Amino acid sequence: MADVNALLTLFRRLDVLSTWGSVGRVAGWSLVWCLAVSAVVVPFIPAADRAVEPDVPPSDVAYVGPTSLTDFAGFLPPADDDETFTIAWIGGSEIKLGTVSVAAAVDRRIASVGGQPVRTVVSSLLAPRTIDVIRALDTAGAAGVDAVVVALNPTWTRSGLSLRGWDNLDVSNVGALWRDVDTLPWAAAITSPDDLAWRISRATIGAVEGQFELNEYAVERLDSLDLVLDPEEPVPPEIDPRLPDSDSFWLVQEHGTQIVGDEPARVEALMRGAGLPSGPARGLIDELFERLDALDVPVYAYASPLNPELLVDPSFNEAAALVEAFWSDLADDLEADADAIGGAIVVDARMWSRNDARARGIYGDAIHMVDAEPFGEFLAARVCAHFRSVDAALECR
Amino acid sequence: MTHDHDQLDSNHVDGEVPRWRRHLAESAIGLVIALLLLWVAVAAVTDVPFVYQGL
Repeated sequence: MADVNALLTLFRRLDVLSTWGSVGRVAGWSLVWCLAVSAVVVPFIPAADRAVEPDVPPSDVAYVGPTSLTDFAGFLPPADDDETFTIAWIGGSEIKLGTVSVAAAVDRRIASVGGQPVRTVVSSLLAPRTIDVIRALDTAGAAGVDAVVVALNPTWTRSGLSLRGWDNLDVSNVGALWRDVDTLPWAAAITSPDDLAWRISRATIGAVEGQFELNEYAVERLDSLDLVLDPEEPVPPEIDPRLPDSDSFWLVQEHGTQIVGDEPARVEALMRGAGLPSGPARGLIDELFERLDALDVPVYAYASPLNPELLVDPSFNEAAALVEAFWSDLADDLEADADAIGGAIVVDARMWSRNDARARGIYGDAIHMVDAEPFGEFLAARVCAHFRSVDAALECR
Repeated sequence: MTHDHDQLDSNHVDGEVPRWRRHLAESAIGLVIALLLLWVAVAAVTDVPFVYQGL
């Protein structure tokens, strides 16, 4: 208290913060100093780069999705380039995980579309929800992409009410859900005043916009002082069990803790939705496709294939069939509404890994491939066929 | 000596401190606040992984 009194005495002696005018000037100086410090610091901030493992084999695909839940920059917009044919890939980890990339496997097989060299930009997240996908589209659409490929994730058919992990996208795409009456309730429910404050301060002050990169630098510098995160003896994995993540909490509630370590059972439970109705999920999917339609570019959406070895199991196959039925309903509705959609959007609802031997890749688990090349070959042909059907000039080479 | 109508401090008296010195003090306070705000902005995105140790 004595320190506060000493400070107040100093302020009084200097005749500052004693009038509203003085308070206003101090606030003004704060803003000026923030901008001045930014002007000094920003040139030293390294260019934004998403820390993804390089593709094997190497590719020219750009990955623009955030890789950290604390990165408020969201999806990086692809550069607006009239010289290239930009294909935006949107989906989850089934597109890109580790060194394996379905998008890269397709990209390697398409050099050009309509005479323009192809540039593939992937907006993927680990475990995205439909709201996150709408936000990816918000960024990609604003950048003016030439075509969109969407990997339809099985969980989108059932998880309209399930928890999301990527609430940092509330900041980066703060306006995405406010533009349509259908998503207003979601926008109001998940946007908080601090999201708006972060968005405004990031747009205004360069050092705040570079907060993630500056944080990485600071953490690296301070890491040598950290005794908590760097214990002398590493904790053996067997006594280091993690709590289930947000998605798994309700799975654990329904199916018990053993489901966390049982990947096929977990994916099957997600596909069955643990009792969640598909109605709210369909509402958001309809919103997604309305926005895809508004882009007025070719859109190829395909049901993400599942491991064919698991599809042999009747119970797993039944859950997969529920997902297929959901996407088939969507495809039928879009076809019935072909006048409105204009044929630019196709939903490939079939689980190709079950139905066509050429589409079977080699899988590491239920949905992630360890070799995406066979599926990439299959998918590239279908994507190109769709581009041609929309516009004969969009020939793949 | 005049009392400023928007004054926050009832003991405030105008004109006792040179204006340049007052502005210098306001600028210095602004710099301190700016640095604190930028510190908050950078520290706010620190990602400390939560590791459940079984306790």
